[in-house]
Amino acid sequence: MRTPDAVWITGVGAGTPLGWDYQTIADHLLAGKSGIRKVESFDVSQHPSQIAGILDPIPRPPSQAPEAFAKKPRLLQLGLWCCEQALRDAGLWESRSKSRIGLILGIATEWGWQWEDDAWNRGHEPFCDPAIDSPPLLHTLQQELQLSGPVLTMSAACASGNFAMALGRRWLELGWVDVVLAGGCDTAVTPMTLASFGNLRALSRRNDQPQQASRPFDKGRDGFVLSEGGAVFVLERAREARQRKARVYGELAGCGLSSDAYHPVIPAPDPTQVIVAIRSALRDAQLDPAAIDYVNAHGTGTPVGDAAEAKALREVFGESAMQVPVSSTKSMTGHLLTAAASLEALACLATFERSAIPPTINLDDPDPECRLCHVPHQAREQPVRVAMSNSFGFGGSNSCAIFRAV
Amino acid sequence: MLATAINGSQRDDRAGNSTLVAAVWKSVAITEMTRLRAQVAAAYPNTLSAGTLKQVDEQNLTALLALKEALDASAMTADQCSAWGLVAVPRMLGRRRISDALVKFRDGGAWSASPHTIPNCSLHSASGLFSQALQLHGPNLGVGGMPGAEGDGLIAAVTLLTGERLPGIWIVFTGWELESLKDESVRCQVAVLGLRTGVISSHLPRFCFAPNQTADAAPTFSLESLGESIRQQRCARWRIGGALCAISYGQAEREAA
Repeated sequence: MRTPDAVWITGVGAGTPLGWDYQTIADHLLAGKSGIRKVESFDVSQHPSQIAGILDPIPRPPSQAPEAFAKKPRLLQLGLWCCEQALRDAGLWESRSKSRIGLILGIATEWGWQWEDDAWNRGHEPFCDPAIDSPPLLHTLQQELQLSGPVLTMSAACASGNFAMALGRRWLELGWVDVVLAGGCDTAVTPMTLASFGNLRALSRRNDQPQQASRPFDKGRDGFVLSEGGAVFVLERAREARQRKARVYGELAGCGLSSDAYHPVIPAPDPTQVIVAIRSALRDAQLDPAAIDYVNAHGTGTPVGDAAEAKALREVFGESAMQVPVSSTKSMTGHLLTAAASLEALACLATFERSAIPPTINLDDPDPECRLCHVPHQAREQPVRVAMSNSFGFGGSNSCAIFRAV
Repeated sequence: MLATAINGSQRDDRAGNSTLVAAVWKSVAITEMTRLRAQVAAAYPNTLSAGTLKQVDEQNLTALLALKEALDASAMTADQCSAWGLVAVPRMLGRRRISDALVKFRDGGAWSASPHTIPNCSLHSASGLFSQALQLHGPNLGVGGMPGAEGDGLIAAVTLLTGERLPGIWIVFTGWELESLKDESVRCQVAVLGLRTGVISSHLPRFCFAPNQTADAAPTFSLESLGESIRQQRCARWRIGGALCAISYGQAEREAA
């Protein structure tokens, strides 16, 4: 049962290697700035990949007491920063107790980050001791933010942000909530995670050229660059947003989800299920492919994944594939894993406001297997009315979200 | 984890009343895992390779066997549910494995970090594995991950059933009966529910979800209480925040519920 009312995005909270608010991040994305650097917060001399998108110390949200905030785990700090900022940005912070505000966050392994934090930063042994397990992060977030709606921790790996938005939109349609905070947060740049992904041979090893390492669709790509951060959006029904004269970033017009059922970590070389997800999103948004003005690609910089996505886009767009601008902002941000799709949603919303498309930096020599209408090196000035964002993840999760300017 | 109210002003009958095509409970001792791995390999000869199964976490391994039993109990073939979705609701996946990995990393450095830890111990690793095993092409996602968050799985499943217009969804709950690093007597517990949209027969068990029942005093949902209901084939009602969900196995029970 779908209500006729659209779902609008009326607030953004974010913390990324490119900045700590929507405007700064949008500025840097459109300037083609890289957030990748050499990891210096721990010893990486033995790591195969020694570069990442790293968060600076997480700013304290205004509602948090300094000493208490400083003692919290980074993932909780990040969640608090993103959620409070999103609610303040939407103008809902002071009135939050009057609405049923739900919370859906993509978080891949909160217990894993906790165990690693306990081991390296708090010196606790034995490692992973059940005696010091923390309560679920979203319980804590809900209490600290004083939210009264349902909360949901979920992960569809790197597609999580789009899944969170799809679920949040449904909660609004069902009338379960008045407002939803939906997004993803990840603090994956840890010693063991960087080593594990590195040993999986998933990461770029261009350690001497951090800012040139993330090279989606380029012939010289050699894996993705690990990154961390978060982005959370306020979703609400258009009727209510209109009534309270909210600032509107855009409409969440459609979502499509599917599974490869192929391999735990390798994307299916046959992009059938990616195409299913994209077409499902278009159908959900009641749009033809011709309506799409911009595609924010998943584009991680892995040899198999980029080629499969390009093939899927050519199939969906047909003859017009070489006219629809495509870019991968991971070239600048690195791969934020469970938060990646959310940051890329932010990039799509920025195209509406700025009438410009962020580039794929480092795309010096496009791979013929990835032929598309790329936007290399520099932003392209162009009005955008409808933007598509693809995100695919480990476990074969495929997702596509479509945003429309309001 | 739904600590507060879901007060729905609208109700979607597709989600509100589904047919429970399978409900399976399984409990396996940690000492039986080697034998179990061979059984699982035999259950999925065409969809899961030996290399994949070798790395699978104990919770997921037990769940794979329960999922096969659930598929058999549903009287469907895997092909018939290829458009279904799947929600996996593990609890603290990979504690022992990650503990060992941290020790190895501390002692051996970066090259000692196994590339298999992340793909097998993340929240989404269970759902991805199960969707591969059954060749499901509907959405798959991991939910919760922590003790006390099992109810999230039902909320996510109901949301997907309605929002994605799925014909059905598998929900796989897993966890250890006791969180322990060393105890060799602990058992891994799994509950699998297969929900098919709508009521397809008045004789089949049913799953009901009502989002606007804040005043109800039903117990909070948990893996253990679901297991008890499945084992005894007894109607049960749970509170998930402000929502209410119920399982009923027979006509008389449904009327009583």
